[in-house]
Amino acid sequence: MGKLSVSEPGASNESKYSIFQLAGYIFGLTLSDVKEIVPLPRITGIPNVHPSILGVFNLRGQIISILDLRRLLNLEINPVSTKSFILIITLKNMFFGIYVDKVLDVLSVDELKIQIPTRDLALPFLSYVKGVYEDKRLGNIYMMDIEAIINSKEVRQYRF
Amino acid sequence: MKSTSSSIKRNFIIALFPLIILLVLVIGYFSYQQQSAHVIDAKQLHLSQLASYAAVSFDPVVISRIKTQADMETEPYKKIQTIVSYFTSKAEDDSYRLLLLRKNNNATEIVMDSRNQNAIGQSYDFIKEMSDALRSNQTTTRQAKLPDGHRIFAYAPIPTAASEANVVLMIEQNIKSALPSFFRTLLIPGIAGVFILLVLFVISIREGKRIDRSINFITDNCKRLSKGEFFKKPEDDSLYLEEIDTVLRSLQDSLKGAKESGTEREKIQKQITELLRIVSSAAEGDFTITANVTADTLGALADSFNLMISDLSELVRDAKKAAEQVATSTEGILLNIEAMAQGAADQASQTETISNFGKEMAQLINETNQSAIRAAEAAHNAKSVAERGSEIVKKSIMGMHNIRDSVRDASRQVRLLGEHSTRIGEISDFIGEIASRTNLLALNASIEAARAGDAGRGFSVVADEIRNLAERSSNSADEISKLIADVQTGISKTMAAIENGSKEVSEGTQLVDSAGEALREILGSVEISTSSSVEISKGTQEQTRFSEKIVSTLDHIAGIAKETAEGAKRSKESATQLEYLSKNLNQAVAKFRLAQ
Repeated sequence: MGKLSVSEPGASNESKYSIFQLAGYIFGLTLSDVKEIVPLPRITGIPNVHPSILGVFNLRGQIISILDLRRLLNLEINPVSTKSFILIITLKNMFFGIYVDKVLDVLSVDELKIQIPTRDLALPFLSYVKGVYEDKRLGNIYMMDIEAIINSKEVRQYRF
Repeated sequence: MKSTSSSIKRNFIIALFPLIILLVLVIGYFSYQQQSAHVIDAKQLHLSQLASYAAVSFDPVVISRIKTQADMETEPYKKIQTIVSYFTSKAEDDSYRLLLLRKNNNATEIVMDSRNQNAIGQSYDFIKEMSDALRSNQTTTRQAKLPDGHRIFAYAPIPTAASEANVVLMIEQNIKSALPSFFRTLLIPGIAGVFILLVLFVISIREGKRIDRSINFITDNCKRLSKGEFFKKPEDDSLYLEEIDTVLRSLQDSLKGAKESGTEREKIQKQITELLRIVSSAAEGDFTITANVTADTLGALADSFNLMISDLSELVRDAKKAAEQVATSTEGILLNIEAMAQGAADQASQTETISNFGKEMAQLINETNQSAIRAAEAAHNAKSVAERGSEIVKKSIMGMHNIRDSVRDASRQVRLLGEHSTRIGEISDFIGEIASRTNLLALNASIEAARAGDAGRGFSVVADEIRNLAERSSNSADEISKLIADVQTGISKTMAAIENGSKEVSEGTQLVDSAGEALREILGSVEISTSSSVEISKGTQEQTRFSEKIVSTLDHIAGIAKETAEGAKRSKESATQLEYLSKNLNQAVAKFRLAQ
């Protein structure tokens, strides 16, 4: 058992999350959904789209659009910082980037310890969160429901 | 009577002849001077023009090269010789002499002499006219009287292309033959003098004859008068003889009137005897009798005598009155003199007191003088102290300058430090950048490792380690940045402090400067006070002298007062005598009997 646990630590319930910060909140995203992290590139704005679409950029010859989750999750809007990052998300053969303030860590999280969010939390983005994990170091980490995001009406209208 | 006219002639000739000769000589001499000066001026002008023209013909370069006798054979020198001989041949006689002179420091050497072919290289006196000619670059002239004739000289500088000329052409001319002869100039005034002498001689002969005739006429008539004969009329109608005739006739008339008078003498004798009697009685003091007044001359005398007697009576009456007044006045004088004597004694004692005061004053003045001298010494000490102070201030100014330099140096170093710290900040920022990049790479690596599943597990651990390292180095870089910021604020504070310091140093320098200025002013004031105290000392010395004079004068006054007292005593004696005299006068006047 001991050997097994060493070779497969947390094989039963643990999975890896990418932890990032956006507008003061700390979010987590399943690592399997994340393809890559890149520093903020030069972004080309797109006219006549919902403000949650920040623009597009060129990633090694591939045009990637960027979602501004602050608009979608009703968070505080600060000017775009050059020290920010873009998380490249891969989901059901879709590629898109989300704008984050800072990538904090890659954590192994016990799925059992993720609690279901309740209305008591009074979060503006409650509908886009799968659960809340309380980390000793970082505090509350909100596990993002990426499918809910891409299925939201603001984003869905641009899917094809 | 021939002798009178001949003596006039002789005297006339003796007086006038040397005078005329002297006049002739003086006129002749001045006209000779004027003529010869005119001739010399004309000749000098001509010679200077000739020299100026001739000087242009010579080549100064050739002249300055010629050094020895051997050079005489060269072609340029022969050319110069030809020019010289051309100029000398133009003169009719041997009067011209041409010299080419080269200036050599303060001496001159002959390059060519038209009189002496071998004179080359000989030295010649460098005279003022030559130096004038060389300096002003104009021809100058000179004249000289030598035993063998009057000579004139012209010095013409030979023009050079380069700078200053140092070669002179000298032309000498003997103008003995051109000058006018002294005796020839004497000829015309001499002839005029002789003519004037002749005319005057003739006039003297004529006047002498007329004087002879007048004397003869007067002696003739005087002889007739002594014999009692009538005067002889002048033989001819000469006007001057008639004038003498009228004078002689009036003399004859006055001699005739002197023989009449003689009978009236006895009558006058009687009247005089009568008058004498009356006068003698008046002499004895009897003024009551008067003399008879008659119509003749003695009557006037008697009238005068009567008037005199009445005047004398009046006088005696007045004298009596005056003698009485004198007696009363003398008493008053005596009283006054006594008072005066008392006053003189008082004055003498007062004067002595004043004299004592004067001596005390002299003492005080002397003390003042001592004080003034001490003040002068004190001022002198103050001056030396102020000078030392000034020296110290100068040194402290120098010190301030050094401090300022040091502060400036420190400021530069601190600025350099600031620049270095900025550079360090840049480097630490760069390190931070690298750390964040590394962090990103580590994140991506761990994502890739997770994607690889079990195969990427070990790689994931490595990626975590790298990320930790990156995070730590990022933290360290942040810390360095904070420290650098602290250092920079420290540096800016230091800079401000240094600036403050340098400002204070410059203010201090200004203060020290003004202290130096104040010390200089003190020096000036001290000098003034020194001179003032010297003045005071002088003044008090003067005062001492004056007060001594005052004291001596006062002593003199005291002496005078004593003398006055003695004089008053003597005056008293005199007044007593005067009283006695007035009594005598009264007695004397009482002798006269006066008509009422």
